[in-house]
Amino acid sequence: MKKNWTDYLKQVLGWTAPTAATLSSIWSPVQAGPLPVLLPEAHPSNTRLQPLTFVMPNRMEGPEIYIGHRSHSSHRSHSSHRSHYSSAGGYTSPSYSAPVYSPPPPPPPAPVYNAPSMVTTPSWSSPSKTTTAPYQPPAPASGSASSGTTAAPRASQQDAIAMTMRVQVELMRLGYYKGKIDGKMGPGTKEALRAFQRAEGLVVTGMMDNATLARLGFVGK
Amino acid sequence: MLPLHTRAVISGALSRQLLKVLDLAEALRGDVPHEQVAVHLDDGIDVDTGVLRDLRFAAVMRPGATDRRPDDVLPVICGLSNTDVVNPGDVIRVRQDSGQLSVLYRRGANANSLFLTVQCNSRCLMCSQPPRDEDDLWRVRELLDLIPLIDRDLPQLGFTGGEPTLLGPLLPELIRSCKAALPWTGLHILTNGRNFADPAVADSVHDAAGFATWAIPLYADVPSRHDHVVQAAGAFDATVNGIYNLAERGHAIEIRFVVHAQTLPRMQHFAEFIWRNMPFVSHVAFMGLEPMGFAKVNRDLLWVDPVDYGPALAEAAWHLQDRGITTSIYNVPLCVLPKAAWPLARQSISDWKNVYDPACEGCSMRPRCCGFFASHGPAWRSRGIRAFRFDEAAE
Repeated sequence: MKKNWTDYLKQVLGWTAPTAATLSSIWSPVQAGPLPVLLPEAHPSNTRLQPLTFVMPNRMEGPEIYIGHRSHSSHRSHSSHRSHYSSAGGYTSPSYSAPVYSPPPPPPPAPVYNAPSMVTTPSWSSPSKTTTAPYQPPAPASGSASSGTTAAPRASQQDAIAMTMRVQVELMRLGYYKGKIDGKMGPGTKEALRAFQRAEGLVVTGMMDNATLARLGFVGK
Repeated sequence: MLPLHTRAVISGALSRQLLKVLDLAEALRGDVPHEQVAVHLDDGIDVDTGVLRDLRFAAVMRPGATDRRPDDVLPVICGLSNTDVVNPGDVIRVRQDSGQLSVLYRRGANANSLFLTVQCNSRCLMCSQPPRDEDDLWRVRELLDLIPLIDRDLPQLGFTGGEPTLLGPLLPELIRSCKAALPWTGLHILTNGRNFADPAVADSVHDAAGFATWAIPLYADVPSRHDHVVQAAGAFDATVNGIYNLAERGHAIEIRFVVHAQTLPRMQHFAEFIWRNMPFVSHVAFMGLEPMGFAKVNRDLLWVDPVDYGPALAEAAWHLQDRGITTSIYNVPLCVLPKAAWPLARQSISDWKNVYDPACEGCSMRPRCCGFFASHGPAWRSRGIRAFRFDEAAE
């Protein structure tokens, strides 16, 4: 029987020109499709005017412990206004229990290195200066009840005074507050907070809610 | 030059001698326990010190004020003779009785060192910190209190003395304390290395491997010369054995060589010796003489004008650098050092003892030059000191 020389030649060429024969099995950049690139979530109107920047360490985790009287549940009504940035932040699976302040433990014996708290997610988006409601974390999961009662978790008096002082110092540095640094939420402090919130496009509460604290640069411990 | 000591007026009874000075914002962050903090207040700020007392702060510092304010309810440290000496971030020791205020740690200084002991088993002819035979273990206790107050972002912390290995088991304890409180800080420990000739002593400092560099002086390649410089028989053998014991346990080693009349004769041989026998060293430092302590007394034995030894020094230093051992030249101003050696010259003199000569006025190389020690007087002044014009420096 006559050999099929054409086929035979193809075979032979295949041996001697391996690259040609196996071209289809070698990956080359030509074959690459567009790679799935994870781009930072950019807000179109902002990025046209300025590049993506992080304003400040920007999360205060946990319940609103520096606001006085209201119980936690009344804040739920705001949850529908949650900015889309915070949803990208991935709130936490129940395995993460928000740090809840119970009556103060003794001051930590060793200095604690406070890295900016990006603990839960490496979210690219920063809550930039948008006029959304202060972000509300979902109710902390089971393990985090502080006093075991239905009362909303609150900072101890010492912690609240210290935080108020920190807020007063920062507001003074920014030029909003000119009174005495005394750790008390007096009218001057409240007015300074309101002025700051107005200028920053936050909800004007006159109180130390988490969003305001975060904007001032106090991230949750 | 910024001194480490000053006098202050202390109004009220301080609860402790060691205090971390922090401005109000940083103090309230709570990174340092309030009981150990003195809150640094500027004149313009109006603070309720009652609240600070409730928050358990130890004291308030008003550097410029002459006395406490009428409504101050905390102890007040004020009336500093030199207000530049203390700044937020520093750790100070305040003596209530004398008003003496010493800065034990200075934030932002070009070098920070812990002083471990005044005792030493050598008596180097040029020692800038002459040893004394006194019991000063109180220093170690103070250091163990000081270490947790040091800023965690400090890149490097020195251990000096005296001879640290004379502290026995307290040296490994100090190392461990630093490792725990300052995990990102590299240690730089000065030692003559003699006690490491005992393998057990070398074993005891295992926590330092990978965390500290041992800076060990070697002044010659032969015992006779080295032992003469350190005034201790057998020192060379012990030091060399110590170096090998540390090296084989994985420790990083720096060799220091002080350049003066007693060490110059064998400087080239020393360089070759290190290259041939200790190629594992991570750094070799050639150091100009510091005219302090014993060096002053022994000036006639030691003084060589740096201009005269410059070329030989450049040759010895490059001999090592060219063979892959990182080499530096410290304490020799650029004007007296041959230009070929400038790349190896480092700015090394601690802020608190660093001065410049009147001839340095207008020198264009000043930003890159180490300058002089504060103790540098006319007897130690090289004839080669001069200022560089901009065009000379630009070559």
